[in-house]
Amino acid sequence: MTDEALLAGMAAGDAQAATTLVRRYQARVYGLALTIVGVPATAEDVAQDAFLRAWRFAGGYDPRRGGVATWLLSITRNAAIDAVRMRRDQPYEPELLLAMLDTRSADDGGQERTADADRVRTALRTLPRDQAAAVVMATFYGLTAKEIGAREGVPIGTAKTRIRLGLARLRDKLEVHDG
Amino acid sequence: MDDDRYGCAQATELLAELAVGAIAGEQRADVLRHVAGCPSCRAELAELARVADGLLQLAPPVEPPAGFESAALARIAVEAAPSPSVAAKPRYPRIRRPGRALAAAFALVVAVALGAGAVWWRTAADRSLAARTRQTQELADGRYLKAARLTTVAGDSAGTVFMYEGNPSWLLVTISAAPVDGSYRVVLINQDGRRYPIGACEVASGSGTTAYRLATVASIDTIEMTAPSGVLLTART
Repeated sequence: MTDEALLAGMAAGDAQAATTLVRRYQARVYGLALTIVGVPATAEDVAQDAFLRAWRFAGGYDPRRGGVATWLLSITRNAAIDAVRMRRDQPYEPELLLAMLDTRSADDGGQERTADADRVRTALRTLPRDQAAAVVMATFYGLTAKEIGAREGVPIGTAKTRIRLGLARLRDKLEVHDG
Repeated sequence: MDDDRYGCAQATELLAELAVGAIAGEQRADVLRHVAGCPSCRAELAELARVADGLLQLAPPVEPPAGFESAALARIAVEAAPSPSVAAKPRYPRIRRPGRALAAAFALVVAVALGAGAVWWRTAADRSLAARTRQTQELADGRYLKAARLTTVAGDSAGTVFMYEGNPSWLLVTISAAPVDGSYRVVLINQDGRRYPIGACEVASGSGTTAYRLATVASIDTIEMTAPSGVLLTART
């Protein structure tokens, strides 16, 4: 069954569809939650919360805005950021995060997904370290430009520029390959 | 919006920050307001957001601990079930769920918190939906958001009431399955038993949405909605 069909089932209240979705995505959802919150117990809670939110908002999923995986992972990111904001007991380590993202993981989603992840990984690698750090700290940790500036010891304007240039460059790189 | 303070040039500067979630407070509200009324900035934002969201797939997958699947499904079952006892059953009943109404309600949650009012929610979509509560709370000095099920006298689900304690505090009624249409009178009953009529909610084809600003939502015990025909819907907080 396709991901889209699973979400349609969930929107209609089909618990079996939810079971299938959880099985299909739990490693990626939990992996992302763990990447962001850094603590297994919290990550488990966040990942469960993400699936609950997915159930709740399945009816609002719009395939025109991207695939189910992207949708589910951004829900997970938001749940994780909410949790991190509430009790921030882990230091933010952009270098660690960048290294983690740069590591090609064991395939769990088929060739197409691996190829797509590889493209994004390659594009991220072309960014200057400061831009990459700013973009991933915002995207994964939900930090604002002001917070990133404070952490990196640069003015807020510099942090804003890094985010803008970094994201623009990522987009350019990905577009070229989309060709 | 008529109070759009940003032009495209100014908004464009901030779209990347919005796409990665690195912008908060007033500024975020201002950009969102511009984006809501500007198709080209909206398209640009959507594209940048796709790039930012694409990064999330780089997080390495990790198998969760044993028992994760059943715990996650149990939480879903609690939400899906009409009563908590159903959570213990291995199979969950198929029930009608106001999924779309909830998503819309959350769009409205964001829109209302932005001070944009109830008209805005239809266009507020982009990617502000579900889980932006953090920024919402930051923006509106929020302490909590809670929801209560609105039911008929027979116990059937008719909609949801959201209560936000913050600055301002507000209450949002979203009806998705009312037994009759019409203009429902909305009355709050506080924990001390006092009744406060707060207005009306128009219901057509079983659905309707309305929101009110309140001094606080902490003292509310019950929300009562009465149709002209006398049909009563209630939500206990």
